[in-house]
Amino acid sequence: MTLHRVLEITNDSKNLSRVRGEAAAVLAETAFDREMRNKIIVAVDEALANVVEHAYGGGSGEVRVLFTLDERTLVVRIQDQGVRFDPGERLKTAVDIHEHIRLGLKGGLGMFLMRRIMDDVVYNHDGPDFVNELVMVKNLPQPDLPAEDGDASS
Amino acid sequence: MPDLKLAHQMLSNGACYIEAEGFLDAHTFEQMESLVSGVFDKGCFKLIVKLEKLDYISSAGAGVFVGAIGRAKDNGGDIVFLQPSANVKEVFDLLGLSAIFRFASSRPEAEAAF
Repeated sequence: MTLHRVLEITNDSKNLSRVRGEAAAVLAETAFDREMRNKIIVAVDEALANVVEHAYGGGSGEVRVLFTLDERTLVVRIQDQGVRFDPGERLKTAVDIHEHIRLGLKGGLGMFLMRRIMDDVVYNHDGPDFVNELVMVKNLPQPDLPAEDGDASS
Repeated sequence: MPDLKLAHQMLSNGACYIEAEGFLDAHTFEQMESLVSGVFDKGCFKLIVKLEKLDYISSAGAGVFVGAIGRAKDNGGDIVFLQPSANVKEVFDLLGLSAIFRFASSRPEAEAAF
């Protein structure tokens, strides 16, 4: 079973709830529990919010969100044709929340959440129909395999 | 139904009680930011924020409180979250905020925090 969903939206923050709804519909097809579904929706929302805020430098543009679900993984791709974005060390750097509070910083937490929640987060650039592509992968919970019977003689 | 519904009232103990319902995300966080800023400007730095009916929070929403708690504490106040929903508490946990902010399971407990 492979499930594909594609959403073509504008970079308007009002579309965040629509994409969260689509993510919830895809996740309903998985064995993730409620808590993990909530977290994955947060990761998708954070990724899209970054694109909405930064990709087009204040202008408007198109964003494509693709969900692919198979037996083993959920893959979420978010593609834009905006300003090339390189996360640099930000994908690896831990957030010091105490420092955020000390300095009164409100932002910069989304990428940290994406990385904590998903199993893999990768940025691609300059594809055939995108400038930036964020790929997030979450491995699905696998059913317990039946214990092997070690006694083959019976 | 709006994406985010906010209500607030001043309490007799000098705290401000805020109730949030719906979705606090990158689309709606400015509503909460404006409310908190307005309450601070009125001199109230003791906030009780009820999150029982808040179905969703993103880092933009949590960031409102991250950005505000320093000013609250600098002015003798604090921010206490009352009955956060499971979805919201999980995000606070991921961000490490559960070890920094105070939480209450009842309104009397929240009011007694000040």
